Amino acid sequence: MTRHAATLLALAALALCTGARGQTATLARSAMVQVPGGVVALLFPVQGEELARVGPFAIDATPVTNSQFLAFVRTHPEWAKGSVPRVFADESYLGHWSDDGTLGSADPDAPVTHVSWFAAAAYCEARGARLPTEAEWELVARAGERLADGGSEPGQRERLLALVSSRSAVPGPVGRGEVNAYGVRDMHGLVWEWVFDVGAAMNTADSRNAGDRRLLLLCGGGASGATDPNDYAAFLRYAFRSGLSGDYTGGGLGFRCAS
Amino acid sequence: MRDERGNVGTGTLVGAAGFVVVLAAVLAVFGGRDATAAGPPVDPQVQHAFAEAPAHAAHDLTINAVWADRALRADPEDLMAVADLPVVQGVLGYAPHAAPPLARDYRAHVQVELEVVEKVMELADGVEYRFWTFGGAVPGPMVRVREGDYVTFTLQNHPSSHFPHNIDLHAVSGQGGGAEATLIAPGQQATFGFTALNPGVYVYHCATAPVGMHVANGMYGLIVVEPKEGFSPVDREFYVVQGDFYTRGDFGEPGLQEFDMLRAIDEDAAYVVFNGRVGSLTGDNALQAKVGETVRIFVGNGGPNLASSFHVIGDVFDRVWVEGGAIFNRDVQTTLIPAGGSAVVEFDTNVPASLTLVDHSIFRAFNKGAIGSLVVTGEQDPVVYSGRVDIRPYEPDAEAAR
Repeated sequence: MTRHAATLLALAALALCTGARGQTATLARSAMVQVPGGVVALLFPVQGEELARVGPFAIDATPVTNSQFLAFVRTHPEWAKGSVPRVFADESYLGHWSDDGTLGSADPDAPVTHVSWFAAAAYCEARGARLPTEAEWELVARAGERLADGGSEPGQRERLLALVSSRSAVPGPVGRGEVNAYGVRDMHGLVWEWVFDVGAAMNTADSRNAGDRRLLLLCGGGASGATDPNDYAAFLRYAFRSGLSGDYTGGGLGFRCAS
Repeated sequence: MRDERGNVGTGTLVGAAGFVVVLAAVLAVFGGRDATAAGPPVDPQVQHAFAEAPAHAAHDLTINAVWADRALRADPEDLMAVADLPVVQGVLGYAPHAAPPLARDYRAHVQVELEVVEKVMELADGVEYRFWTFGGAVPGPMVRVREGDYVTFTLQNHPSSHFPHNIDLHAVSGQGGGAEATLIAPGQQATFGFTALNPGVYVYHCATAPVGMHVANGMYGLIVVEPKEGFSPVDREFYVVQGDFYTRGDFGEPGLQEFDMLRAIDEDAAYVVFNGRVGSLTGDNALQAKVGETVRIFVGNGGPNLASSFHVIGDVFDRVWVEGGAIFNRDVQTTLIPAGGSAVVEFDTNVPASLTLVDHSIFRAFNKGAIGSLVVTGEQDPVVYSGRVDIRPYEPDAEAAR
């Protein structure tokens, strides 16, 4: 099945669900930000393609929240806490919500966490969107406070590292954290985020190289072959993504959509 | 991706249209890609199998005989299948206490669990730091096994962690010393097995990128592989690990101090400490011994950057197992312990004294925290050390004038 067909199917399924329940409005759109695209130096570039080219796209200004995800679950009960098959989400899926599937003590405006890649992808599909690619996400993540290329802003690396390493145990509400030059918020200070092609940057045309890179990242080599060995926030992101499987649902991992 | 495909295969049993969509997306992402592309094979079913029975790939196997001959000195017990070994729980020792001697003269299947916890603790009085720890402590607990043991090692990453972690045990022969096998996101655990081929004292540490930051935040400890004949019994065993820390504020600046990446890269340590904290071995925390005892200290150096010139002021190391290996040196004043290395120092306590443990790169002791105490109490021996027997004015000019 092609992705195109899959998208059509998703839209059809969405139309069925929402049409039956008339709850289209509850899948409230996050404000999206237009990003003109550009080139991004991934931490581990593909040989011969030192800069990944990214076309124009739109991305959510903030991570998807608990209340937004609750609205999705209500219209897509197959993604409810008690009914999702284990292959699509491990035991801690929506573990911070009440057992009855309501938010309980979870902050409605905080980013939804304890969501698997499958659940995140399904949410974005239901909105007619998708998860951002790793290159898209990284393009936005490297923006500075004033410049799209944050690398030329002094103190950028240290600022991002401080944001990532001082996250609170339970993420607070979205939209109050750092805002970058695109007008996108909370890329670093709240949660990790799923991307469509998890770990793509670790891949290369030569699979032996891909394995070598992954081992370097996991086995102490680390900076060998990296575009910027001093970008510790990037190392933390790539290492986190390199350890994920699609059913993983951790308390520090959320997502936002792109289109 | 092997596991993802396995998941998808199960998923096809589910008929709902929504899941077909997801399936298509999964195939679009993961299909046809190399196994390494989308993360390691973290398969909860495998972990459950481990939890129910320690048996796994090595279960019915004996170690390759060639290696048993060369590495394990060809004892008949080394040719036993793992499944036939007695299963024992690994005993850990939290600094400054060493894990207890094994008191075991046979090969075993040792099961060790170690939990990774990120927590704020004091680096000095009034100075807090976000430590990343093995076992909730810096250093992580000492693991003690016997040469030839088969070790099933489980690493757990607490759900409250923000970061992925893993462990590289220098005692392990295999990919990354276990680092590849144990990479886990918060809320996961992973298990692997190894045979302790080489006796000695080995550092373990986290090896996830950026590895320097993981080590700098306190993720290191020692695994001791006792030689088959064991260590000779002593009266006191201690566990001391040096580490250097890189904080935004200088030494002693109060409050929660952030990790300073540039300072770490410049190897400009704000703190150099024993056992994860200024004062971990001084005052009420000082080590204690009595005159006439033999003291053994397992000394490690987690680094990440600085080699230690380990020295005890007021005594001589009677024996030092150099670099934690098989040879020992006698009558040593200062032993060099590289970052990611170790030594075992032994000395007899001859007279009462307050001995001072230092990194003899002495500004670290005086200004950065690398100082500890071993208080020896008991009978004086004025022949070994008399103490002051006289004091009087010294006036060389007055002597000359007469």
